[in-house]
Amino acid sequence: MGDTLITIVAIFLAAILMFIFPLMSISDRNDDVAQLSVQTKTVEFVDNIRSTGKITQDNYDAFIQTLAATGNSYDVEMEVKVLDENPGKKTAQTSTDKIGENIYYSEYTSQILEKMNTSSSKSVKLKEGDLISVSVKNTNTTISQMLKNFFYSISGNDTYNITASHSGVVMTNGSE
Amino acid sequence: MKLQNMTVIFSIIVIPVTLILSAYIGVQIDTAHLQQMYDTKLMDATHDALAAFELNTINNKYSNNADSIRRDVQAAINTFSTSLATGMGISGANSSYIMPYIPALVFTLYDGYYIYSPNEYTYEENGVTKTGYEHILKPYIHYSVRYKTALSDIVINYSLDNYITVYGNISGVGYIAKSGYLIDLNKVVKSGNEVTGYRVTNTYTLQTNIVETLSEKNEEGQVVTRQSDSVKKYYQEAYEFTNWLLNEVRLQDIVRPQNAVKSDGSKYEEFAGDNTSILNISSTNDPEDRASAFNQHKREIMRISIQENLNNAIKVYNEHSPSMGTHANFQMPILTDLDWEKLLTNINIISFMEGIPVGTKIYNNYAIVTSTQNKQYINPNSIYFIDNTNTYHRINCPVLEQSLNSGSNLIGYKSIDFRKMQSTVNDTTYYYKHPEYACYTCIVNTLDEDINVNELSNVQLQAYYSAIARERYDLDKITKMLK
Repeated sequence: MGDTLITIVAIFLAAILMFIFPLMSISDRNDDVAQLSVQTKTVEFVDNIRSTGKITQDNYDAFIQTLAATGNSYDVEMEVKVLDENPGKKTAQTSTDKIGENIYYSEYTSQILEKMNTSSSKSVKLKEGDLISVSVKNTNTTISQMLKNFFYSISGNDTYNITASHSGVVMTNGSE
Repeated sequence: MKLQNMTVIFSIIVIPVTLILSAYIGVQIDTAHLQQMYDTKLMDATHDALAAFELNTINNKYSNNADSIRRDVQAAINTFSTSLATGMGISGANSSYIMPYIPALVFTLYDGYYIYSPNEYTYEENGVTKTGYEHILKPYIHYSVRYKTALSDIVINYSLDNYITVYGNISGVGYIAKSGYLIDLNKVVKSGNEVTGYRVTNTYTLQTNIVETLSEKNEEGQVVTRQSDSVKKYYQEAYEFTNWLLNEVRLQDIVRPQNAVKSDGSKYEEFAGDNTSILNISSTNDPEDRASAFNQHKREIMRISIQENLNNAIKVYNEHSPSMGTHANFQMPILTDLDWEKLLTNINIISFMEGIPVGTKIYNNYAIVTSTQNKQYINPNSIYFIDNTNTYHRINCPVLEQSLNSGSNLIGYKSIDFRKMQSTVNDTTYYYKHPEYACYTCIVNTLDEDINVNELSNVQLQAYYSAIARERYDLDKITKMLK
């Protein structure tokens, strides 16, 4: 009787050690690698926009394709903060010794994509001083997430574990 | 063997493998992150340097003077090292700590470039001669090349646009030194010897014999107007210079790529057998056309010049990096075609960084940042036009187009004239030369369309090309006196 119990326990242990643990570990690593690749590509994409001052259709498509190549689906959010110096100029002109304050207004993913599609140059141009930020997170459930949900019983829709973001100031005028 | 034993053996084998693998991947991920962080920091520091350069040159009236600009370049380098140190979390570290990791900084300007890199220095202290290596700003190098035949010896300085300087000895003619803009003479319209127009497009002839009334505000907020005939002078002098060049048949004959020689007198392998006459300006070799033989050769010369001097600087760095406290064999990264495109069409800063350990590797990368707000070079895309509603626009702005009629007097100024200026007399004050506001369609929100001259109206074309001609002519150039 005691022997049977131990055997059953041993089989469970063996199953966990021989299958589940390696599987979880490998799928975790898989996500790490996906994370690395997503982070690298996001930084590259943003830094390219910053140094050229343009968001081009070509670069955007290439970015989306490399993301898809990791085997997951992603939600890409872009935000451009457009620098408006006019209010600052108005303040500065009322008194010559005052430096005016600049303001920013934002444009988001759908607006950016629409501008990109409608312009003849297939690109959105930015100017020196604008801010760009891009954030990416996975929308599907990866194997690692699935296993974790199963074993640790974490639930909820917004548990994503591949995420990357990068932002910075645009360094050059895209139209020149 | 019992199942339990097999499980234990399997676990003993598999668990360490998995652990080591995950640790290894972890290290690789950290390395990649660190590398990326350094990439961004390097780019940010380079941008800070550029911002300092732009700010200083805009407020420096003499910034086109070589000596005066050295000061601005040096200030930009200080900004670079401070910004880099701060970015890497060692703010307060002085530049001698961070600079050994910088093999070179290159400032490419209108007609040449500066290289900031380590070089040998010698000084005497108490009768003992000491030598060492430290970063210095090397003399300005022009985009120049020497063409040599058996009897003649000519040097040409190129620039980012169609301005060149020619000097040297032509056999049978003697010593010459001239500079000017090159234009396509087939497009020139003249009465007698006076240039009155230039066919800028197939359908429009630019009126060149005009006097423009320009106005701007000074430090005290007063409007100052002046009459400018720079457009007329630009085309007249460009016509005379190009005409002179075309009549110098011997000069035409010397300036061929195959005659180009390096500083040691040997020929360029790149140009072997290429006997295109570069200065034979015609409608098929239009200096304003990017694909013309003139432009192709010019870009090639600029590229070779930067590459050679940079290689030399990096060779010195490699040989002597131990004396600066780093030891690495720096491999110069290969600049891509896109990078060269940036370098040869605008003012830029290139920075190289090398030797910092990142995880399992040694960091080695570069950053290029383009300047679009400077007064060293007049970019045809960075000229803004003031309309009658107190707003300034790009030439192809739809809002501007609607406000124009055939009698409109449209005047353009270079974009940096719209930036905030600093003035220090007793107190530091700020002012705008042009107090108009930026258009929300084309400037605040950059217009996505490129300028297509065939879609512009006559009023727009007249304003656009006269502004380019005037700003180009008014750009200070050291060789301007060699008319």
